[in-house]
Amino acid sequence: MSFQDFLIISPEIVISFTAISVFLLDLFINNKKFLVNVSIAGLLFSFILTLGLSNGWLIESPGVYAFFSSIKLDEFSLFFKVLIILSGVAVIGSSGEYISSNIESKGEFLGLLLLSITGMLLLVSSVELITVWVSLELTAIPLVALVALGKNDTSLEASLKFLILSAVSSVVILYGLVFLYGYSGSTYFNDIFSYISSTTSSPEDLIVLNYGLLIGIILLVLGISFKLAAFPFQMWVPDVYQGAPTPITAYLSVVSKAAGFAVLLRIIYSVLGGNDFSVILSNLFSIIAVFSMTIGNVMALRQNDIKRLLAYSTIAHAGYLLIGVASLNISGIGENLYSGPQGVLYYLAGYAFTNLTAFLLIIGVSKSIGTFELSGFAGLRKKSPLTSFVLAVSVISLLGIPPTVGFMSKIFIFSAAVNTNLTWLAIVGVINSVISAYYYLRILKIVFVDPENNQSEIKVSKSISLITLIGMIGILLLGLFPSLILEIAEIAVMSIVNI
Amino acid sequence: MVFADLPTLVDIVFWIIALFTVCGSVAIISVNNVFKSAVLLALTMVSVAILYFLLSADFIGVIQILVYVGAVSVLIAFAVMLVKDVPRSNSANNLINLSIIPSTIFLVIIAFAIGAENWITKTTINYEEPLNEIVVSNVSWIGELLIREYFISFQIAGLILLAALIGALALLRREG
Amino acid sequence: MLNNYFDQYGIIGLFLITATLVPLGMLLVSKLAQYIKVRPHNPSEIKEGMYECGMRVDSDRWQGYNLRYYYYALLFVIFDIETVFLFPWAVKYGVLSKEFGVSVLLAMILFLFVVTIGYVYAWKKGDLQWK
Repeated sequence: MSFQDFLIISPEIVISFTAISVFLLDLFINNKKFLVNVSIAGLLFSFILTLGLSNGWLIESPGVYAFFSSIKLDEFSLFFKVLIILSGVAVIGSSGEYISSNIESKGEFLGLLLLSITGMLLLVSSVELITVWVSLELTAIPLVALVALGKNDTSLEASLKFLILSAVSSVVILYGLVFLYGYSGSTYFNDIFSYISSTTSSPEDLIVLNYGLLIGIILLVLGISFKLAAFPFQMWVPDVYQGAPTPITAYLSVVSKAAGFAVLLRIIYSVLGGNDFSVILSNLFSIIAVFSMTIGNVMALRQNDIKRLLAYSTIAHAGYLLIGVASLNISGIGENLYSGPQGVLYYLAGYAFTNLTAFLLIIGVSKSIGTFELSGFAGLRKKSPLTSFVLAVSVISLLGIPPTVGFMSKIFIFSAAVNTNLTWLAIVGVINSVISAYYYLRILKIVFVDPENNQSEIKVSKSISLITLIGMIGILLLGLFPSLILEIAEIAVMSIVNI
Repeated sequence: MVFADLPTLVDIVFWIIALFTVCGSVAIISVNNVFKSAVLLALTMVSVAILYFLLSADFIGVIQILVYVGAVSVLIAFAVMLVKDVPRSNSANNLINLSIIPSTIFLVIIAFAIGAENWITKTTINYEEPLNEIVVSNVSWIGELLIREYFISFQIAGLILLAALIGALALLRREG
Repeated sequence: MLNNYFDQYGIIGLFLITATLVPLGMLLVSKLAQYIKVRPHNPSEIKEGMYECGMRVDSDRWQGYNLRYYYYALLFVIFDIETVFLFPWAVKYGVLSKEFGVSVLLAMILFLFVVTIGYVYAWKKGDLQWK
């Protein structure tokens, strides 16, 4: 271990020590507002360090290994690190008021959230099975407590459901990793990759003869679907999203999902090389995608609670994203081999802007109207035109109407599916988008058309207004100039592909 | 030597313990009294520890007894004692008929995969020392891995312990 | 080679078997003694009751325990897991410190520092007090 190893994980070190100092400061000072500032300062500092790592200020260039090859800093992990840290800043920055009024254990809340962010950052850069699993645990365990820290009674129930399903999914992932290790005799992605490529002559061989690898990968994918809020492990999503404190809901729907997709893409492209196994994997992802989209959209139709509605919409979006994952280039021919994962990265960035804007606005508005029921949002246009405009932009982006980022990302994902002979999957995606129009437009109808039914004044705090405005600008900017992210996404995807 | 034909003895012990583990696990999820479940869980953990010993992973076996039987079982026992109606506390076990189908499918798939795969026996261990030495000293071997290859996992484990402790205490305070 | 390893556990196995057989044998002898009329057999309510330091049992077993016990059990689990990491590290410390120097010590200090924050937290928040 050299000094450079520690430089490479310096963003994680900074955030984990910020978490520790938040725990300690919480014991000795009474001004809890200060804790929020400390957390944001730590996150911003680690953001600067991340930029330093990507620009060559701290190390020569990305693409280096650290700690006996268990951590790899490449463009892919830097992309996700920036996404995760900025989402963390948005969540913590806008929830200062929410924390001071709705959370009793403020120091614990912030510290655990920071620890979970540390786990996510380590997760996206780890290239070794044990590090992957330990980082996964570091993301999940603080979240169990965070979900339960809300004041309402449903919070505890939600936490229990989250705990049990999180434990089950962890075990399923671990079982998958054990199969991978048993199959290849190594826990390092690169070694597993070279073992797989050395033992096989043709892709058909690989599927027929290597049940250990097959079962390992399937278990891994099923377990990770918990993180993605996708099909086999999607039951927890509505209850937990509803019961959890709203900042945590926003965090779960954006950061947790992004980290899950990061692990999934890294395993597909670094361990399996993206080609040999793709037929069966592509089928698996297609099935998961179809079920996630359909369950999410159909169940969302009848929801009257905005958090539950967005929870089901999250499941549906996991489905759309999985179309991009399923678009593995089986034949290996064509101009853009990796348009699928590239679309996923773009989608995730756009989804972070969109969903954070929606959830953070809901925090602000529901504090004034005192409910999460959709009917409470009636007549929001008259009470606060700007708020309802921003909400409208984010809902339009979730639905996927131009000129928002939601539209462009769906275009990229669906065209990637068509390019890889998965036209049927793209059609299912389009049909699902049409179904989803019903409930998204219903939100807009309630906000813009319905007469107001209560006289409460809408007061959204300055920090939420600022962050959601930035979010709205991001939604429109990325929608109009997709190349801003797409170029970075292409470099990022290329950095994880093992050929 | 005391036991002339040791492999068969090890086999016999393995099958007895394996049977005990499986029966214990089934019993855990089929008794109605959650306290009995907790005691059975502790017993099953002991038998899993014996399986570890049979695999020459003696340190893991000791840890299994120290942590799971010694500490986690006690934790579970205290949690169980907070339950009001202990003798009928585990009514979820009535769903056993429903759960038997997916579990059987899972068992068949996994058993087939384990049976059909041609497991390699290669390992990253360098057998320069005599096997006996390695087997006896797998404690120090783990110690070396913690400082070298798995340094980062080791430190993350510290953070997990911190998060688990603080999270659990915050939740307890919310209740108490 | 491996036989030695299992021989050692074979002795533990013998010990386990003996430890199970002795109390069972005692009960068996006692039962036999009853049949050959050496031991009298006249049960009463007090004899059949639970043994609790010789006092008469006056309450149900299944009463709610104090939640406080749980705090200690929880802290103990964390301590226990710390030992899991400390023990192999200590065994190999001498060899490793020749190769890596003081950083071996620092690695463990870092780990212990992080976990100890949890104890500082518990102490300061008053979770260790018996309220």
